[in-house]
This record gives sequence, C-alpha cells and structure tokens, in this order.
Amino acid sequence: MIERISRRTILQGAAAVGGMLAMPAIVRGQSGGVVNVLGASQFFPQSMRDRFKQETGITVQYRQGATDASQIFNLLASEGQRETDIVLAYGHRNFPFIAAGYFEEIDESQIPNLNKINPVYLNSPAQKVDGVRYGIPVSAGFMLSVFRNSVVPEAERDTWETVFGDAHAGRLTWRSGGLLLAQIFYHGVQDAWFKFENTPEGVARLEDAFKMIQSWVSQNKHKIVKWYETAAEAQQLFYGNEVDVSQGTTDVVMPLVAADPDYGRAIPKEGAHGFTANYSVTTGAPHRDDAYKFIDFLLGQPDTNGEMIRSAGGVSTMLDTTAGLTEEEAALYAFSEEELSRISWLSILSADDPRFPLQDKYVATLKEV
Amino acid sequence: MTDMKSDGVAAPATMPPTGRGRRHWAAALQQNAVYAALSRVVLAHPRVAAMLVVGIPVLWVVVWNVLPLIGMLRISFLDEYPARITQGPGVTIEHYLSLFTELAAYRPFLRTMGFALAVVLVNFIVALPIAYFLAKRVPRNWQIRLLILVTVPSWVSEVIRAFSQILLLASNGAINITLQWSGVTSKPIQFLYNWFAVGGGTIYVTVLFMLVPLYAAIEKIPNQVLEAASDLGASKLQRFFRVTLPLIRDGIATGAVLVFLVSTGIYTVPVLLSGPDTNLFAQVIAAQFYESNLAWPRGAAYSVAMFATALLIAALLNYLIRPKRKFRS
Repeated sequence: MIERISRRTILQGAAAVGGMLAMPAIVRGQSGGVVNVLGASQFFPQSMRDRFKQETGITVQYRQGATDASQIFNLLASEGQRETDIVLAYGHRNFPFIAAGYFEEIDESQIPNLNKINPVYLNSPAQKVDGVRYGIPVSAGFMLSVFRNSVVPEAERDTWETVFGDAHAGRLTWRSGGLLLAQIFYHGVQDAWFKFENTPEGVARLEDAFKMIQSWVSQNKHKIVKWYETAAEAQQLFYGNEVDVSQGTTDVVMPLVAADPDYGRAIPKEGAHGFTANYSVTTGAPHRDDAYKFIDFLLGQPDTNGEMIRSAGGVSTMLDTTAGLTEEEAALYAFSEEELSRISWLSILSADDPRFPLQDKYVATLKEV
Repeated sequence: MTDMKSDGVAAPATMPPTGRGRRHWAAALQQNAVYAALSRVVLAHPRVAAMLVVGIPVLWVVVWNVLPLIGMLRISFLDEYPARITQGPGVTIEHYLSLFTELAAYRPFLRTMGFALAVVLVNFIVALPIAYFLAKRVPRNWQIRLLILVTVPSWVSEVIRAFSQILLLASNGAINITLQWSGVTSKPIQFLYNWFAVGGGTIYVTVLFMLVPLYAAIEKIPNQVLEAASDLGASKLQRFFRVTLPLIRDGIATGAVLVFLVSTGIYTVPVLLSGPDTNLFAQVIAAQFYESNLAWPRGAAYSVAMFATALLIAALLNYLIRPKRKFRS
C-alpha cells in the first residue's frame, strides 16, 4: 500500500532536488579544488586528469570543445562569470581568443616543467603576439599528403604533384580549409606568406598568390571526388575506396596510416605548413593557480606525451619525443629531421596581422570558384 | 478527502483504489494541499487558466526559437564578433550586401532555392502514390500499422541515414557490388558525391513531411465522391486530375511548405553526400562559423537571409497551391 505523500515529504524532496541541482555551482564556488578545462579530449587525457586528482586533490572539470567556434561560444556564454580556466586552441585559431582578450599572458614562473618542451617550439613565434606568450605548445601538427602505397609509386610519393596533378584525377579529395596553404608550396609562392611584410605591397603580393590559386582551383576542381571537412569524412572516403590520394593535417592522416599499412604519408619536398596546439590560461581564470599546477603536471608526465600523440596524431613538442610511446608507436609517429626541415611554422606577426583574415576570405570562396 | 469541480466547489474524491488495493496516484495528488490550492485558483479564474494554457507554449517558443533568432539578427549587423574588448563592435550591412555581390555566396544560395523546389516536386511525385495506396487501398485497420512502418527510418538520426546511403551507393557499396557480381557492370558506377546522391538523400530524409499530409488529405475524401465521378463516366486520369487533386490541395500545400523549409536548411546530407559542384547554402553558412576563422556576423547574416527567403517562398507556395476559399461555412 502506497503511503500518502505528505506535504513534508514533498518539501523534503524539493529541497533534495534543489540541492543536487545547485551542487555544481557550490562546487565551482570553492576555489582551489577545481580546474575547468575546455578543449579537445586527446590533449587532456582522462588518465592524467585522474592522476592529477589523486596527487593534488584538485578535480579537473572537463568540457569537450569540438571546434574553436564552440570553444569561443562557451567562453562568451559564461562571460562576466567566466568558468573556464584552461583552453586548448590550434595554431592561428588562437588569434581570435587573444584578440578578444580571453587569454592572459602566460606566467612562466608557475610552470617549472616548461623546460621539458623543445626550445624549437617553445621559442617559435607561433604562441606569441607582439612578443607576449599566450600559449604553451604541447603538440605539433602539419599538412601532409596521404595515399595508398599500392596505387602511388614510391618515386611520386613525396611531392604535391601527386595530390594536385593529373595522375590521380577522379580519385582525389581535398580539404578547402588547408588547401591554400598547401597550394602556396605547390606553386612555389610560399614566400608571399612566410616572408610576409605587413605593408600594402606585402598584402597585395599575398592576395595575388591567393587569386592565382583560386583560378587554378577553378580549372582543376573536377579532379576531386569531393571536398571533405572532417577527419571522419576523409577516412570514410578512403575506406569506401572512393579515393586514393588526399591532403590533410596530421589529425586526418595519422589515424589512417596507423590503421592500415597500405596507407602512406609524406611531407612533400616542396614544403608544408605546421602549427602547434597550445594550452592557454583564460583572463581572470577563477582557479588560476590550480590551472598552472595542472599544466605543469601535464608537462611533467611522460604518459601525457604518449597519449596525446597516439590520439591526436601529431608530433611531440617535448625534448624527449618518444616519451610514453612503445617502440612500434615511436617508429610510426617518427618523422626524420630531413622531413621536419620541410615544415614552415605558422606564426602571428602582430595583433593586426592581415594574413589569416585574407586566407579565410579566399577559403570561403574556393568551393564556388 | 476533497475534489475540485470546475465551479470551484469541493467535491468528494471519486478515484477508486486499484485492483491491488493501492490508492490511485491521481487521488493522492488531489489530496495534496498545494495542488488543491493551485487548482482552486486556476478553476475559479478562467483567464488565469487560459493564460497558463497559452502562456507556457508561447514562453517556450519565445525562449527557444525567437530569442536565438533575435540574437542571430543582432550579430548579423556587427562588423566583428566576438568584439575585441578594447574596441566595441561597429554596425554594418556589409554582410547582407555580400550575398548579392559575392559569387561564393549568391550562387549556392540560388542553387539551394532551386534544389529545394525540385525536392518538393520529386517528393510529391514519390509520396503521392504511396499516400494514395495507404489511404484508399489498404484496409483501415492496417493503415496506421503501415504508416508507422513507413516512419521507421526516421527513428534514427539524419547522420545515420546519410551514412546508410553511403554504404548503399559507395564504390564498394551494396549496389555496385551487386551490379559487378551479376556482370551488369565491370567497374563501379559513381553514385555518390553528385546531385543524384544529394537529391536522393534529401528526399529520403524529407519524404515523410510530404507523405503524411498527403495521406491525411486523401484519407478524408469520401469513397462515394470517387465512385460518383466514375459513374458519371470519368476515366481514372480524369478522376485524379478533376476530383482527387483539387480535394487534396490543402495536403499538398502543407507538404510542399514543410519539405521546402526542411530542404533549404538541410546540412548533414550535403556534407556527407555532395560532390565538388553540389554544395548547398547551409554548408556555406556553416563554413562561416567553423572554417573562416569565426566569421559569425557573415554566417548570421546568411542565416537570416536564408530564413527570410525560405519563409517568403514557402508562403508563396502555400498561396499558390492551397485552394482559395471564397465562402466560409
């Protein structure tokens, strides 16, 4: 027999439900015990978050930011009572965050393990704007070509001609997002970007290069089966036997190569652009000290490096590039010095660097030219 | 124990105990003082009751539908979003003008509108025989069962349905394997990444929006009307064009508007199935948000423009197709 529901029972139930709903806010309000993180999961491995909690008692509250746009949306949504302490953003996608004032200047004195990062990456201008550091590079990615070893002869593998030429027309897929920067190397006009000077002449030179590429794409896009946008799409195209060759960043290419020995990858001899994924601390982070503690902890754990490379497919920015990897994995993810020397790293010259907005303008038109 | 009648007078509760001797939950609720007090207020004041009945759904629509649109409209006039902390946002109509001046914007925009109209037409041709068969040829007690069966594909997400088309149409998909195995073709046919795939995928996703209104409209036509037309010497075609079609114009208009609106905004299908020359406007909008370094104002302006144009064309479709009622009973 059901007991009659008394008013007292209802009030008690309501209080319990209210308490549970309010718990996250109560927990958030207790500074010192929580770090709120926003970014792709592979850069904040679950095992590391658990270990950090065990060692320090600080809980890492993690929110997945599938894209930079959603990350910034989340930041904006909580503007005024910002909840995020650490953000992970890729390469030049840092720029809108920095321009909007969402990232603080990194306090290097709070990160003793910063010395575990290879100075090549740490001191590159990619994380700095006007000489101020806004990010800590924890993984590097770059543009690659990917192909079926059984289809593309060995002699043709390390050139952009394989990706953009006629030999594999009808069996190609390109990603519009990175196409301009791959094409500037294919056409040999990369100086317009990488030796850019922020003058009217410099801007005009870069715009001419983009216009030339736009025209080339217009005449050659019949060679592709499809434009792809996500890593999953590209992988589907390869697995579905729709394409043999593509261009893509490491997050697209390395899972393919790791999954099947028939897939090969190359940093083409003409060159390619590279970028880093960075940890940044938000301006006015509510748990700033704990955020720095967590970043320092992540840099100090060799396993972080291994898990990050395994899941994100990039290159380690640590001095010990094989930390946390098995011998087979280390071999798979290893790029020779000669290959890495082909990479030109993206950087931001100053807060009003016009190259990225210009690139975005032309990227938006590529599919319709 | 009291129960409240519509005149606000207390009455004894009439809920019987269940067979297992348990008091019915509704009876327990009626005995609750808070519920009783609320009921008393609502039932004694019809205006309050009406406001609650109307107000809650209106509030829902305003919060979840209207406010985001207003937010989008606001962003569409900003020159920069998010605005830099050091310099507030400016106001501009440049993003709207670009829709008329930039090839990369107006071409997919026009393409999408044309595509959506074509999808409406093909959907009508595909759905009409099915709806007619269901409404007039299937025994009444089987109609609902078959309708539910027709809705089965929509129980899974659009992404899964689009992927299922890839499995079917890919070079190593079921159709190509069958064609090659049976000797009809010697190499795979390119079914994917063209208008055939995008159109087929969109119709697959939207056909229910046409089918259900058509079924409802056809089902309402009395069989005697069709029989009378037949008795008067009308052929099957004459019966269809002069009796059935005019009587289902309401259903066609509803289906056309629904399919058109869904087709203009469809995103997953073209992302997964479109080729180099078949991009739709939803992809262009998404690119402004994700690929173009967060060009939210332009994406917002394109969204608002597409929304307004789609509504306008949908209203036009509705006006043209729906029968004009000169007399009201």
